[in-house]
Amino acid sequence: MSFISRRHAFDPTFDVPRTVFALCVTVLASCMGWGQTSTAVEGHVLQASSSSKLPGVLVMAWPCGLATSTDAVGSFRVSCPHGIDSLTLSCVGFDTQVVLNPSAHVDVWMEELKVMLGQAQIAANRFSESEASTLEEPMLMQALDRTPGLQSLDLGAGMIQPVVRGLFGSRVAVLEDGVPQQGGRWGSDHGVLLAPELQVASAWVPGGGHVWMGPEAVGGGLRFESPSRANAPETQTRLGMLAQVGQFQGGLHALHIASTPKVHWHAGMSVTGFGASQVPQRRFAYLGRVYELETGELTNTAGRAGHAVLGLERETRTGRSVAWSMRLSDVQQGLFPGIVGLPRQGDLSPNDGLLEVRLPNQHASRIQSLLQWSGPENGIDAGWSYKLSGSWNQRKEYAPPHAHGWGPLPDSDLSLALEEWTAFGEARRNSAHGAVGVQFEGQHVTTSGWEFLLPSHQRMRLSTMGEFYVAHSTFSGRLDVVVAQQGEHSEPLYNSEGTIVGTDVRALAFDTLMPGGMLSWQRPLSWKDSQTEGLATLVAYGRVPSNHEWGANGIHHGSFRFEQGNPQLDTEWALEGRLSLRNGSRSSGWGWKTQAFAALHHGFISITPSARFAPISHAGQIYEFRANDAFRTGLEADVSHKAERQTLSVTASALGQWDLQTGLGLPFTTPSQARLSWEGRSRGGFAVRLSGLALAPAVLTARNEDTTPGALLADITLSQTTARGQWTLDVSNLFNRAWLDHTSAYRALGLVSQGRWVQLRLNKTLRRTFNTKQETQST
Amino acid sequence: MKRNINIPATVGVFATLAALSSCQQTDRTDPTLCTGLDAEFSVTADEIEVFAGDTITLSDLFCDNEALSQVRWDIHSAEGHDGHEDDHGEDDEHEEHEGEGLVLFSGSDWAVLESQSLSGLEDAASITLDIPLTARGIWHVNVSLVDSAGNAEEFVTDMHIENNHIPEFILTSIGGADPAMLDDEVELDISSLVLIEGVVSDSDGVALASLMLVEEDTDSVFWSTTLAPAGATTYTFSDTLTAPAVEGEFHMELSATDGTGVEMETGFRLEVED
Repeated sequence: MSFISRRHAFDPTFDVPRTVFALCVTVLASCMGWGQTSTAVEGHVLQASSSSKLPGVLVMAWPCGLATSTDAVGSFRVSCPHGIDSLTLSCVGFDTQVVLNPSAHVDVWMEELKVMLGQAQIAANRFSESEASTLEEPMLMQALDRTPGLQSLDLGAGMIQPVVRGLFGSRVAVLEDGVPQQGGRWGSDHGVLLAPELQVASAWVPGGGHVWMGPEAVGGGLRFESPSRANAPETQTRLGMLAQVGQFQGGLHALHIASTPKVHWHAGMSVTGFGASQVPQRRFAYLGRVYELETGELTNTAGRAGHAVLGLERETRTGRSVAWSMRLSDVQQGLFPGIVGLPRQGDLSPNDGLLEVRLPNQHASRIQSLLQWSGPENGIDAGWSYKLSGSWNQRKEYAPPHAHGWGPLPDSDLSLALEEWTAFGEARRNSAHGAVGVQFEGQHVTTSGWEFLLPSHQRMRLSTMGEFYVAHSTFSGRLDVVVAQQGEHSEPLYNSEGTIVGTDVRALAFDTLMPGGMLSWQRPLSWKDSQTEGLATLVAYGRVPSNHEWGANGIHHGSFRFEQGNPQLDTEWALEGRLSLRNGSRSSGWGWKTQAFAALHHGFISITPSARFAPISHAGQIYEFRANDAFRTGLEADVSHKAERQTLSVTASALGQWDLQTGLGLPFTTPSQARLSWEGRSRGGFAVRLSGLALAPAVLTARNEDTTPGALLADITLSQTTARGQWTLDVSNLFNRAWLDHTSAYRALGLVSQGRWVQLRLNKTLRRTFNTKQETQST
Repeated sequence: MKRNINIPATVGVFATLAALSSCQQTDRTDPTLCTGLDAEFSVTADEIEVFAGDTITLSDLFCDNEALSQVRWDIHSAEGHDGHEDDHGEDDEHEEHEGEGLVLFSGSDWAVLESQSLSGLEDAASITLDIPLTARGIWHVNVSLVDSAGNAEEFVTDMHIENNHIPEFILTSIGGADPAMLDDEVELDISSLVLIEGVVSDSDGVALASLMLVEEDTDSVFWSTTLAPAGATTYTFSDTLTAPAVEGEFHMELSATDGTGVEMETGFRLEVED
């Protein structure tokens, strides 16, 4: 009996000559029109609106009726022993397509369905990266903390600081609608201003060297998508409320989306207030001084955040799609006095009001506007899409003048101000066999204030990139050119009597031009007669240092350290291999998923303790940005069993990061952890989830970095989803265990993470489909 | 010839080689003190006793298994924080300060910070201090060491400065409480009546003395009283203030001038609560 494999069989021995030969034959065949009478058809399936590849599309060949599905890069190959007269392509959320008398190579663009089926959200959200995983949890903090390989640093609300595979800050790309969120991306207290509650989709992408995410994605990246015709095709209003006790938080959000096949607009707003973090300690030490906390409150860490979004999109008469959106964000937050200069004991008395913000504090604002347009299906600019974005990002830190250290007291509370103007542009042409494009990033940063950290600087990146789907593999490349410059800065050096004893040169002017880029090869994996499938990636990439790594020379409040940059730092290069495998149905029964990586970094820039002390009174040892060769490896795994009424799952992650010169760990290496969860569901939409998290002791430490003990934590989540809405009650750290988060900057002070908190969320979606005008309610 | 490249195996071998190469020895040993224990003018002393106006030299011997790099002498007033960490990371000093109760500091802005280069496996360093005539109270002596690899360690002790040059205030009661049992900050109820009792003294006689309650945020004087020591070498005072009617942070400033015109200022913090 003749047999056609369900998928292209995977041969673990990679035969280079055979692959090259097959590549040549494929190219020649397509050029010469061969294969018209072939019994096999191969091709690609893409989303019509974005030309992004579509995995998992069922492709049936007729008359034999044999089927296959598209792989991670949207490609397929199907055959019938006596010839193929037609293909049927189907995928949930898309119009079924029929291709008659296909040639040997067929590319199919699938149209999204524009109607709602029951209460299901059928629009697909597809991201550019094959390795992208959608973040399923409704709250971003929980999504980060409960996804193996990810973590969050708690910055209150309105700001996020994701930790991806042990890296954070400027080593994690955060993109909103494909626009890299530039500015303020260093340290652990400088999060990105974002409002996930006003977005409709988010995903994380592991590892470095992604062609469209920019060079910052070394640990990986996060993508967020605003509502659009493609991902929110129906008119709806999303309302939400959050109340939390333990560590007080309260918030409201509303997002209205109006969509028709031709026109879309959305507007939304969210406001959040949050109280001070809670810690079980009553004492901490900084620069050899011991301070007391009067209560369990981490003094002056309350704040408030507000975001507003507005977006418009329409299809023109010529078939072009034009969209404009903007976001305004504003966060004001107290800063723990222990992180700004040397506090006085009196500075640490608890705030009087629940949401009171006093000195020191920070005020961060961002206005971002994005214009996007794409060409029609036919015409000279068919397949092209464009983005043009500009943003203004300002961060001001205020501190009492006595935090300044020696010398005359400053006449203002403004300790540090950064005003950042950024621009981003992208032109991209998608086709069935790949995509090409160019990107531009510009940043103009002005710094001021009496606590110098880094000089004013400018930075520009120009990149050209492409990705090509060849012989079931994807080859990608990007060439970056970064031009950067910084100003000089010096200030008087004072002794304790206020006498000038020298000049403290903090920055020298410099300008540089530096290349970067990436080259990658990706290949989907599948095995004959097996449900296991996966993706292998080999990538080499170079990241140009950040301006902070070049030019910082001052106390960084986020790390409690005097950080010193190095203008001699060069592009850091890495060779990284990644493998992801999954097995089993996503709807019922056993299933598992695992992904692993190993990366060799040449000139990996990490903060390294120097052999010198800072010359100023309110700082200790100097920590330098040094280029050290490093090796990083890690594994994330997820095993679950799904039944109609319950789900049992175990997720785990392990990470190792070594400085190869010393054999020591890289700073803030996330310890291994495992989470066991059980969820039970009733017919009435009620669900309960119990989970326990085991954190291993963090023993892989950098020089002068303390180990962190392990911990066992428990969470419980109750929720009910009905036609009227959804309520969720989350209890985090159920037994109120004191534990140290190894990746938290507060660990340097010996202060543990927050205690138990209880969060109640109410969400409701009012839906109105454009074609029936019949209003429905659902979650 | 057929070339088979087994990608997973190649990556595995590469990773193993990298991991093995990371296992080389590195210096993680912190530099340390080699001074004999309890040397009089050393950070190893339990407490360094000095008088204002003295000139002293602190000396210590430092050691490292590979190479020393720098020592930093950080001498600062203990006012404004509770204590310091010992060389094992524990804040044992706290209990000692608790026993002393409310300490009245003078001249607490005097501080010294100096970094010196060290080299070799063993090196000595010293610093000469001119104790100012305005200083009185407890100072912390923090000696930080770093070796050439960046390993850092810190050693601490206290320096107790006695002062016979400036007038001295001794408080015997604040609102009926013994100051020896109080912490660095005194708490008062709003609008409460607070009796302040104490002694101001100077061997040259006290010419002038006053008490003043200042609001920290605005520097405005909320309450003040002028004492009348009339040149007495020891003058006992007792006065009652009405605490502010609003919550806030205040500072009680005590000042005196002796018979030769030498002035002194000291004080303590008060928090007014509802």
